[in-house]
Amino acid sequence: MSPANGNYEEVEQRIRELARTALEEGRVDYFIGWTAGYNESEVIPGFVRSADRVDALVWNPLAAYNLTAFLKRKMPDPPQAKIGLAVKGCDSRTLVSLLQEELVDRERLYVVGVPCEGIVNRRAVSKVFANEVVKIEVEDDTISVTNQDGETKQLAREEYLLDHCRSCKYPNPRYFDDLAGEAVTEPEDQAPMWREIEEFEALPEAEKDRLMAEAFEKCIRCYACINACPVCYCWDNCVCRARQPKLVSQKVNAQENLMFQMVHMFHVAGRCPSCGNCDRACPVEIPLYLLHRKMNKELKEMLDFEPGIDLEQKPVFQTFDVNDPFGQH
Amino acid sequence: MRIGVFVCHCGTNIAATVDSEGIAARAGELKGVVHTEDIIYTCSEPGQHAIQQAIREKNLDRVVVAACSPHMHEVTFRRTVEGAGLNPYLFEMANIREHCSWIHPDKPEGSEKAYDLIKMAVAKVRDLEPLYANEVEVNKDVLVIGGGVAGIQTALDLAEAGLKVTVVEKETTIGGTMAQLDKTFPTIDCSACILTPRMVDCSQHENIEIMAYSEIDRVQGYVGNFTVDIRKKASMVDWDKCIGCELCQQKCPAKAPDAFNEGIATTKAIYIPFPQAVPKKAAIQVDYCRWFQEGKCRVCERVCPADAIDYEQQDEFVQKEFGAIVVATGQDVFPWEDYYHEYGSGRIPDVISGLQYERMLNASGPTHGHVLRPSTMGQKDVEPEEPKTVVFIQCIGSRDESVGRPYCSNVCCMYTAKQAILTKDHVGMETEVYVFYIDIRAFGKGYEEFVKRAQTEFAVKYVRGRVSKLYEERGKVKVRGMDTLLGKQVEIDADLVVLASGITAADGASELAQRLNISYDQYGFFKESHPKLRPLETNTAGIFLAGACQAPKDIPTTVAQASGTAAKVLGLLAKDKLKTSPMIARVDQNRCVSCWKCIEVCPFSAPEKEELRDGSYKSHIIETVCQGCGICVATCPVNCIDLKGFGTQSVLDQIEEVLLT
Repeated sequence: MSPANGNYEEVEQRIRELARTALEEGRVDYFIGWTAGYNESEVIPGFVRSADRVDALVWNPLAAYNLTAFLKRKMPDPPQAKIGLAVKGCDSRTLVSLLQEELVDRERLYVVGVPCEGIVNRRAVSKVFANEVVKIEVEDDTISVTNQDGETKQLAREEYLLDHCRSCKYPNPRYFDDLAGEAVTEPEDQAPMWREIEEFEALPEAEKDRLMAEAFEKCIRCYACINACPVCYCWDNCVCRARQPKLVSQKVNAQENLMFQMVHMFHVAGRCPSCGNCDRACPVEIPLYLLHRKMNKELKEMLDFEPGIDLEQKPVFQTFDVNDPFGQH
Repeated sequence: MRIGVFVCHCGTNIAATVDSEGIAARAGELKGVVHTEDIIYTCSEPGQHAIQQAIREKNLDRVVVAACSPHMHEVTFRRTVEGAGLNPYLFEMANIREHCSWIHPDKPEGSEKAYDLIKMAVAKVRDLEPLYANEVEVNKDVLVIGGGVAGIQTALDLAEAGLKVTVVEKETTIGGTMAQLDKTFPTIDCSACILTPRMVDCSQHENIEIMAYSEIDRVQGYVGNFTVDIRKKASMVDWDKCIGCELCQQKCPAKAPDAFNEGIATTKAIYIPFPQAVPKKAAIQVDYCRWFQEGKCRVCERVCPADAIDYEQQDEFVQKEFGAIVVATGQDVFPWEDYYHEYGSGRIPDVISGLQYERMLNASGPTHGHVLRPSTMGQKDVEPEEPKTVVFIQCIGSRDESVGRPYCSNVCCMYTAKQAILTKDHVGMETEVYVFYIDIRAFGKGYEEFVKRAQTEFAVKYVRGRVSKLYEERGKVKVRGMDTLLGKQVEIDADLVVLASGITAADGASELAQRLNISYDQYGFFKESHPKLRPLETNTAGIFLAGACQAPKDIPTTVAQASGTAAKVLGLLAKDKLKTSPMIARVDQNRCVSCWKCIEVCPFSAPEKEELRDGSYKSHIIETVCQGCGICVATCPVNCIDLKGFGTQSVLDQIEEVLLT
């Protein structure tokens, strides 16, 4: 990821202007963007319903949340509503996946694309202090973290970006109606693309098993991951929660929990660009997005497929070609 | 619930390794089972009668028969229970023969497994509900894919019986491989003389439509109701106007390889493959046409008296509906040049394939029936020379595992004997003719006598052995081989070597099979439903096979099979309505999330978007279209689709029954 060139304010202004115009002209009933959280260490999703409130919208490297997650259920809500939405590069890819499958209505959507230069790994950053972090600020290549006692630490931005931001190939949205600000330069080759997956793959089998068991032992089956997932859409009918037919048990133990996550992984395979919403939603900090990264690595290597790249793409698990590795005898 | 369990002995087929009597008694303990019985032959008349009697007397509402494979007798027993007034879908078979007695030598263990299989079947019948068959209208039009002799014969037979037939042929003319042949064994009658009248019959028959230069693009639907997209390839000639006068071909200045003559001559960029072509229409090979390649010429346009040339023509798509499909796509000649490097890989001009030689023997072929050495043809100041020594080598691309063709091509022994005789006939009896063979396979009517005639009357020298190497030396082709009967090396100076190239699956056969949803073997030949009892049907209902697309075949067998296939199609289409299986998919719309994956994956277009009263759309299965393949059930992420008579829960119940009880 290239170093930040710091035009966050400019882009933020642009998002506000686009949202204001859309609201004023009645093109949208509400606009979903990012807004300040309960303190300066966090940015949360925000719904703006009138033009005079657009100044609540913010854009900075803490805006991790993939807002597409709000579209998936009963889009649009209420049924006649027209929705404005801000998307980063990876967010737009989940939106493209939903559009490919006709799960959202393009006609009722106004999409503001936000070129992204990488999002801060808030979970990692907030651990540099034992107590609560109240402020995270990004200036050029430095992240300043302040805790509740007013102590401040400086961190290298590069080391505290989300893993997938470091190898991100698509920082600019793949689908939008208006782009907020200039598109950022797309990196040509992001090596090492799958560093964290390759590290895991290189481990001995027993160690992998141990790590998996350790991670999934913690799962409390709160289903926050699938609720936050923009491309998971079975909701109340999730096979992992259904009792009839009883395909997956609701017992909470490492094995069953892994089974549940595997079902999720396969259901979103080819539609999930590993945006990380599941991972950030997990209250017990299971590195869920690694599962999806692994799937994406396999899809790329076996089928040369990347999810959510363009609207014409067919969802990969609904296509079959005799020349792909699954077609070979 | 009143379940009856009937355990078969199948004579000793089952009873030798499974204690049928013992497990029948034990099955009485299973939940819901009120009657058990062991029967020596359950499928026999007394056996079936016993089931019916038990249903009536014990008032059974579910039946399990533990016997052979459902492939064998499921239909039989469904009819049996129906005869006793029970819904035929309240029945389940446990396969304790193929899945058990035949594969387990140990009786106690075999019995235990058979009991497990019965437990599972009982668990399944508990979930079953009565199902009722639907009826669907049948379209009586037939699609024949391929216009070779197989396709022609099937089409003519069907058309004569009154059905409308569409023949789709990928080349510009029908006729196939048989049209390329000179004479046919074992009678040496002229191939064209017997085939071309049939081709003309086809084109003139009121019930046959020939779509030449067309290919199958997509096949949807199911038996009785196929929808097929056919791509009419752009020939750059308006065939409605073309009168087949050949003027364009005469005047065209651009040469092009002649596929009909197997490359031993050239044709023009605009061409009609042979004078008896049906339909006799010209087409432009754009890769060789000066107008398409260099942007100059348009000679054909100027000379065409019918104003038929159309350089702007595009592929055209036609959608048609059929009730049945006959696949008769034939075969290709084994591409020996790519495999037999010891024979020069095609670089020695006097080494040619059997089909090339066939064209040379043909009076209307490029040499007008004169046998000539290709090395002396088409050169300035060189008089074409007749060969004095001709060597035939058999089993090129047949019975040779090293080239991935372990099968026998069926026709090469016979066509080599024919060509050997014709060589003596065309060039003269004094010509030396050798045939290197592995075994002579002359199995058909009059075949053995024919080969004997070649050996005795025509003095063709048969050498049993394989040729190890061919190379050029002093204007001859050195043939080095082994006579395994004499046990010594042989070396022959040949003027011409003819390789009896075998039969390989047609180019694009596997892609077509995938479009049709039929199976094919590792060599690309299409698979019949059963090698003995259903040799003309595929495993996809309503799709049939004719000719060499199934396996290498000679003309008599191909024609016989083609007529057999026509009879099968007629049998199917004699009914006005077909009963459809009620074991089909069903959507629980309350749970459907409208992701439409079912629509995407269904090979039959059975699911549709149904508008509900609240304006939302949910998946709905069109009952008459669904074939019950279950692919949507496996695909549906919410599991809201289930297969009637084969529900997900019933499968889980079976697994639980065998694992947990």
